Amino acid sequence: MRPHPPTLDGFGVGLRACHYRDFLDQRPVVDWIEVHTENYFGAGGWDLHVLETLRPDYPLSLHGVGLGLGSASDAHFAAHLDRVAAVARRFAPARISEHLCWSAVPGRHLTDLLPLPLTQEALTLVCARVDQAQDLLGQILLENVSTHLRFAADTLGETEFLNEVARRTGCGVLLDVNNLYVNACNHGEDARVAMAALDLTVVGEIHLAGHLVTEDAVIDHHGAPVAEVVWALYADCVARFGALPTLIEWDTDIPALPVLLAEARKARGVAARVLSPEPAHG
Amino acid sequence: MAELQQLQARFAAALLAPGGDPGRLFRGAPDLMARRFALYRGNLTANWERALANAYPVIRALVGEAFFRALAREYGRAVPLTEGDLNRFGQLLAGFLDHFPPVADYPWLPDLARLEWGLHQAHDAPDTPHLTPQTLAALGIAGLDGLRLALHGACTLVESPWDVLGIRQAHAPSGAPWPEDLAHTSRILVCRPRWRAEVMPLTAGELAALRAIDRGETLGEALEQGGDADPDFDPTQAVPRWLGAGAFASVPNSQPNREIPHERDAAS
Repeated sequence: MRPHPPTLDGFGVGLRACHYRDFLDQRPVVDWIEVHTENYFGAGGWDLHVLETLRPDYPLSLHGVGLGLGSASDAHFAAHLDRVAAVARRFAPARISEHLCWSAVPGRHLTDLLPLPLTQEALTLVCARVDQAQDLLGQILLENVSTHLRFAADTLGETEFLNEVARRTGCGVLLDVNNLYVNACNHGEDARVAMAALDLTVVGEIHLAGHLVTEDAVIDHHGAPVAEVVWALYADCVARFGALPTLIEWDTDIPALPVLLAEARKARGVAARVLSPEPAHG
Repeated sequence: MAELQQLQARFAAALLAPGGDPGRLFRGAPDLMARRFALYRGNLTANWERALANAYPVIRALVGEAFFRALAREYGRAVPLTEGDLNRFGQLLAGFLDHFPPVADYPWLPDLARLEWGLHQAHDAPDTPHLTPQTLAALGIAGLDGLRLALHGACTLVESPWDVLGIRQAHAPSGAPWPEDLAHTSRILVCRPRWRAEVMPLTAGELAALRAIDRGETLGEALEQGGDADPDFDPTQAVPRWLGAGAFASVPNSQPNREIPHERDAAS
């Protein structure tokens, strides 16, 4: 048996290869760690060894980036799901999450979280795929992605779509607050309205990350500190959904580990102020 | 499903074609949406480039960033990644380079790719135990001749008429000088004694013997072939060297009449 109960609690950071040495030597204080599932698809070697070594000391969240639950083609799905399940068996994660996106056509994986048309047809497909995944993995969380585009064919809002998937399949929602903000900017949506489309009990985890503002679009590049406007949205999110496990994501230009840990502490502070506000002065 | 399938097929086709346009699929101003669509094309190429750079750091250093990016784009379009594991992107690069006209003047590049892919593969190969000198000694001299060994899953044999080993060493942190004569045969065992993938130069005799072992011939036959290939081949030096590199998987498969217990027997 693993020493950790199957729950995540508190504030986590992503475990990335450039921080392996820090984690192995110092076991930094952080409530939990997250890894990208696909980075541990190998049969053996250093990455798996490091995760095996750290696993007893940290609850683990497995975050998949390649399953593509919304790919109309089923050419890649079952095989990929089996590999996710193999990693899950090996590391007994507290949480498994995937993205609301598509990623492959017959004969080719496109290695990205591609935007899904938010239609009834896509909803039916995603629900069937989530059922299939949950048969193998137990409950998963599904994350809202950032997109540069919205389809003319859309008939649902993204969070409305996610809420419906959760209602039909029993999966949870991983709410990426930065993605909400990015999509609000890119598509002229209201992030708070989007948040309100989610049932109070459906959100199981929150992601925070940095973004990049360009002329053509706001890009969710995971390469900067969390923006102030996203911290404000996070506070609203905690006010609505309560205390939820929260992850700081940083995947490009990854800074020294203390910077990441400081962001996690900042999230703790923001959540604490929302949940037990100090009495107003004067 | 028909509509979703069509839409994704159009999206993917436009993504893969330079300047491709999926047509009026999106809300918003067409010009802006076209530029935003191009961001996805940029992501795709960047992911290809990153995955390829991870596996082929020496080739990247040799050809330079700009050429490497173009190579990743050409390779990614020509050789579809058929699984959602970017770590495997690049496994067919050597064969692609064999027929890629822009590198025709660098005939050693495909073999360098074979060497780098061997190292990349070794990195996450299974952690199955290596055959140790102790295990081998326990079999007794009499048993060794008929032994059939298997190369460890992390190991690859590479032979090239070019000095790809020298080229790689010239790009190692130690910074050996660029080989004076590139037309110099390389014989290499890629191995992973512990966590780090390594290269071990082999003599002609060692390569012949290890190839024979890899084909499933007995140790006795293999060592004989080593001697045939190279009069200076000395098994008493070669075998300990191989064992030190973790060249073989443990549990020799030639154990006489080794019974595999049935599951119910094992459980009882």
